[in-house]
Amino acid sequence: MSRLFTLLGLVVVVAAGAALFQLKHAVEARQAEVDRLAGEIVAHRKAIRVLQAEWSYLSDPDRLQDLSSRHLNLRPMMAEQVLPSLDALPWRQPGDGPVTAPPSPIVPSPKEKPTRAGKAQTANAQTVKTWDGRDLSTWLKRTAEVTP
Amino acid sequence: MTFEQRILLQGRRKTAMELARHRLMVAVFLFIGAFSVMALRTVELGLVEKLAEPAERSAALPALAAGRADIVDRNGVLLATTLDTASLYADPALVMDAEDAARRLVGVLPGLSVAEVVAKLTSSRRFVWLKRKLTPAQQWRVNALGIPGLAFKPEEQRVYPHGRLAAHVLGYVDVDGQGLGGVEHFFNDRLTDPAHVGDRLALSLDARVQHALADELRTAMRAHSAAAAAGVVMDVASGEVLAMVSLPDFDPHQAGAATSEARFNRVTKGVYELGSTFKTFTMASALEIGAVRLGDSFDATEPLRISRFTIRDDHARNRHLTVPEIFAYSSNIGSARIAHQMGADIQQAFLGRLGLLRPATIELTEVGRPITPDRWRDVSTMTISYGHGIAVSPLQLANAIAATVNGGVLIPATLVKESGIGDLQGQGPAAGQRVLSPATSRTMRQLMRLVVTHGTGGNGDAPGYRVGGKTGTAEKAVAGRYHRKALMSSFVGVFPIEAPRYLVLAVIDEPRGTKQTFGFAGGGWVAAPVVRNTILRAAPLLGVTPAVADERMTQRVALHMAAEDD
Repeated sequence: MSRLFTLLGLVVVVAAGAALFQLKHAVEARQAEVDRLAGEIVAHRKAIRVLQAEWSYLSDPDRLQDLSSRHLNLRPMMAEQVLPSLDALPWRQPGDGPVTAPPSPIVPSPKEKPTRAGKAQTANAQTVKTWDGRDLSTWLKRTAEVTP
Repeated sequence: MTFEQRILLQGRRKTAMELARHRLMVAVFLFIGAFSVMALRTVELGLVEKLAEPAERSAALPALAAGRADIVDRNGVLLATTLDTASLYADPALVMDAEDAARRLVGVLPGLSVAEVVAKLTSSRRFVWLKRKLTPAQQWRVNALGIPGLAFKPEEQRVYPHGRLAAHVLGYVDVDGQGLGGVEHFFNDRLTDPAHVGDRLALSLDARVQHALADELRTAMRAHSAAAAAGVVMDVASGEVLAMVSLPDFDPHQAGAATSEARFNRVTKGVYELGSTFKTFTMASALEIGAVRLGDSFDATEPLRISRFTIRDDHARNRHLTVPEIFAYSSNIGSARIAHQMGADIQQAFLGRLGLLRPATIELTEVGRPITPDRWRDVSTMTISYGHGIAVSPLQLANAIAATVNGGVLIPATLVKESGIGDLQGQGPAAGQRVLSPATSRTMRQLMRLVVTHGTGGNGDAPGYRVGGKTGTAEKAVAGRYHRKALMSSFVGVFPIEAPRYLVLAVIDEPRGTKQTFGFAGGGWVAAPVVRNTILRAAPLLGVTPAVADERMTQRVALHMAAEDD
């Protein structure tokens, strides 16, 4: 009986020792992995800083303007090109065909602008219509709301 | 051995055995107790402590040691950052052949001179800098030479990815990374504080608006062969500065090589007589205290003589002018008469309330002290009414104009985005100081719109964005006399005028008239187009919705203007 007990104890001690040894190894391996990952994170963070600086350098407005003027046919957006809202876009059903006239912007383009002399007449009769006949004057009144 | 002896012995032996067994049992129980405590603790560790463990582990990451916090604009665009770099040094005692080493080194680093390097490599010290802050490519090439005695020391370098953009606001650092100018200097302690090095400093600047203003000013400066230019874009409700440009400017990477002229911040440090833009304050104070009413008219038929001065009009009408006409046509005679009627005390008190008599408060150390008359005589009152005889910085002017149009509350200008930094949070309109009644502020907005629609500021109108403004053309004092050809031309524009959100100020120093401006070099011809173009470029970025200008807005003040054919 006691001999069996001793034997069992021995087996447990050996097994526990082996398991502990194994565990220690595993922990050391994990620690090495953690250190490696930490080093990688630091390297990545440094790289991110460099890339952020580079991104900022490459998106310098001065540089973008130079590139845009050389390679794109774009100009700064003018007030005449801004639409009041999505409602100003013509409502189209399937099969309506192509749009033949552009939607009205908030600010009329210079050529449509009333002359100084003709301003008085047009100011009263200012009914602005989109090409499909909807009246925008209420909307215009709302946008031109001012504190007199 | 007798029977009795045996019994006795047995009895004695038996007691000894029993004693031993009892003692053993105590030890066994002690061991069992100790082992069960350990077993329980193991189970507990396995079950409970496991949850807390990962958090502790992740804290073991080495912190990234950046010596200086980044600076970003209001949208998070990186304006200044710190990158790792290597600096080359030598231990002369370890260098074997100084001549040869120097020649090979200069071969890969052309910036160095052979004689200088030889002198350094043969010196008796044990540490000499050869070149600070190499590029990675240079470092690689030096390394490839394999010269013994040379070594690299990791250092940090301040990098400004946008180069010259906003150089005067950002400032610059010395070779050891200490801020010497701009916000780099003002916030040096905070930027280098190890506890905050990970927090970015968010400025109120908008890099896109900054570029638009700088680009327009540079174009105008070139077109008019001007000596210098300055400009500001400001949020009138919060005092936040969205753009601050001073030209000529410098490259903050090589600030030491720039002239002091280029490093000079004309917006905050420079003080100038800014001319007719000051009429805004004359009008505002006179209307505020009721010294004049809109319908009052003043004699501007001929130049006004006072002591040895003669006050003339640049845009002379040679008749009596009403208050809106004086403002719209920028009549010096008219505003001098108004100021004279109002009195020096009121003018001085009002300019003081607008912060024009003390240095501006802004997060820069380069702040100029305004120049005001020693004795506020009658003639001072009259010339100050149209911006001569008092010199303030463009930033102070912008700040005071913002207070005039935003409903009458003076909010100190700031370069830090709201909530951009802990101790500067919450600078709302509540932090401001009331300087004008809302009614006067509204009248001033109408008058400023009138300047653009009917007066001297027509070139400042950006279609769709309802600009109101005031032109300014000051003669520069050269050797104690006002010079009629050396001008300081300015224009301050506010948009949208019915409910102002942004202010744009452009000042151009000594512009010359061109064919396009018919030879004129005044504020309405030179500076107003800069403001118009800046607004056209910046307004869509700032989310200002274009609308048709409502002419009814200025009806009340326009009623007091005589119809003219020109």
